[in-house]
Amino acid sequence: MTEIVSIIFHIFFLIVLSHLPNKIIFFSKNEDLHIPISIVLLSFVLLLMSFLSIDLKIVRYFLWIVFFINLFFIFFEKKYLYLKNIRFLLFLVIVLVLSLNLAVNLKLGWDAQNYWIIKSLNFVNGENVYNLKNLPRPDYPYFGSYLWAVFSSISFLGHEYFGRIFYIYLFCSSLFTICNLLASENNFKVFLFLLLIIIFNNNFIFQGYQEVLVFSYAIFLTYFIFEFRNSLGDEKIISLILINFFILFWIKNEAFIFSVIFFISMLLFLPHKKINFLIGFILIILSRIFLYKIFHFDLDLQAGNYEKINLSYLGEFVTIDRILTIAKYTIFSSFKVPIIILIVVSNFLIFSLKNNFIIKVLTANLFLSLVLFFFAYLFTTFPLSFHLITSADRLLFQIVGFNIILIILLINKFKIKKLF
Amino acid sequence: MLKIISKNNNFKVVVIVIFILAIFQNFGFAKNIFKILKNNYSSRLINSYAYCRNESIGFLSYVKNKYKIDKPIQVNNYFISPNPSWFFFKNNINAKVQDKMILLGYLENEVIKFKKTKNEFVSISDIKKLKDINKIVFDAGKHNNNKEIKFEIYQQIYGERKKIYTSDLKLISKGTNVVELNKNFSNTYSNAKIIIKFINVLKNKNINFINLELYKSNEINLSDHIIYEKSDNCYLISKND
Repeated sequence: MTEIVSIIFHIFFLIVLSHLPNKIIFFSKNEDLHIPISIVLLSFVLLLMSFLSIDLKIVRYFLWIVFFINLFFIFFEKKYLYLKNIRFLLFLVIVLVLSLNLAVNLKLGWDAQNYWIIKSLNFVNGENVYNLKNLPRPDYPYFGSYLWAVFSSISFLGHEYFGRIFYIYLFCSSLFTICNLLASENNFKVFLFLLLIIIFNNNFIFQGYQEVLVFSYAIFLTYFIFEFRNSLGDEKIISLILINFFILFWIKNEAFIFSVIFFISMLLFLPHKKINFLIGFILIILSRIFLYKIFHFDLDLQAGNYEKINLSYLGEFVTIDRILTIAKYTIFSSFKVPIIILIVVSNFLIFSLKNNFIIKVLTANLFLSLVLFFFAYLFTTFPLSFHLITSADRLLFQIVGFNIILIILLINKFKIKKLF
Repeated sequence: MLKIISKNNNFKVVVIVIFILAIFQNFGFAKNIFKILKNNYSSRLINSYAYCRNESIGFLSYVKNKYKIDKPIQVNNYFISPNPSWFFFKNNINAKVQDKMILLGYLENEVIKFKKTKNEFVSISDIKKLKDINKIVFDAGKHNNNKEIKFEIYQQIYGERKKIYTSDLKLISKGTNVVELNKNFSNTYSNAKIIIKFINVLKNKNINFINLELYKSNEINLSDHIIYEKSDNCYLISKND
């Protein structure tokens, strides 16, 4: 019973943490944005703390202080009125159901055992970011593992899986947030949220894979860009979006590449203030490179792969056989992440119906991401089928995170609310 | 009008309730509560993995508690699964357990069996590493007496293969033939199938090999170590270096 109570309290703790006072998130009056903005800002502070090698004990004190301040403001600013609505309560029930499932099925995935939990245990055992160079894959970013360490050590029981409950919370928050974009009544938002939970039921959410974090932060990113599309010149909004990009940089190398693609797509169609965004983005890329050097991490995006990329080997990689293999396994992987098909169809439909800034950005991004997906496998030096079988679905899952908003926009366009 | 609205609302509520129940069922809500109440964290962790298979967390947990292993320990995992060293992870590498080590999926002498396809032999199971390959054994029919053959060994992973060895010419005789190899093949695919292809032989319809086996020994000889614990193929042994 103690464990179930601890899980419930941990979820409550996460909810309170992700409701920063209005004074901090003053630039948005939209209550649906409070959770994503709070999570992104808090994640950024935690990332900075990890750079500074601040002891995990102090990080825990910091989070408890934030918890009590937020709790005070939840009552002071009457935020509990939002929290007690039926939609949010249902969201909590789903987080609880998924967390209980995790508490029973504790198995970690292959990469999670080989890399991510080891990086997480590094922090749990009192080491800091500088020690990661001595652990497997120092070319991989570590922020997901850091979050895992922080939230497992702050829990009352201290079990490892409490860190993964944060992943679940983040995942559900991102889906809950994106459903709030629907221009429909609450019932339909609830319906879509539940449907997405059923569709996305896969191992990436529970087994310590980092893709779920990329997926969730990517949803927050696209939500911010959509929500603030008319005020993208505002420095506060630019900062928020750049912070979100920066967090993605530190989760996975693929997330870094997808972020660059998303940014290029955005820059192509941004009506104004391009230069501010561009300078900011270059700065965060440079700071990543600089910090990688400081921490003695390997700057290779995938060490051990793509070693033979030059023109003389082109004929070896670009063959009909390889292209057909990629096509075959991409179709297989789409069955594991079926929503990618819906996204491509939605993109096609909405692009032919409506053609504004957001649609252009998302179309360019989806196209470039899929092109990257194709070339990443075409030029892989790993055995192609093996590489596709073991990673294509996870790569597609990340692409979905950056583009799932297209489905919502399409639903809004067709006003499907009338059907339900 | 009110009736229609009310009916419509009821329909929405019913659909949402069905979805919630589907999620409860899908994620085993009630069953999970029961399991959490019934089993503590350690037993759930052990139940999430096998006792002595793949990561073998059950066995690791047992020896960790019994021998009070609270430092990193060398774990040699011969199962095709990630190395579960994280189970003992501590940062201070110098504080490693010096006198013991763990072997998972250990086989002193492994016999790799093959099935015959049209013109080659494919290992039935995947092989983690091609180290310490001792010999190849096969039976040849009476028509094969005094024939010279050559064979190639490949590794194959999801249809992609890489040649790793070509033998010299070997003279074979009727009955069981043993070809000594005693080789380590490094830098090859992990967890791959092994393919053995006989050259200039299978083209000849009169020649037919059967019962191909590849013998592989382990780098660790258990007779040189003290065995503290054993469960199936999982061992806690003394470390001699």
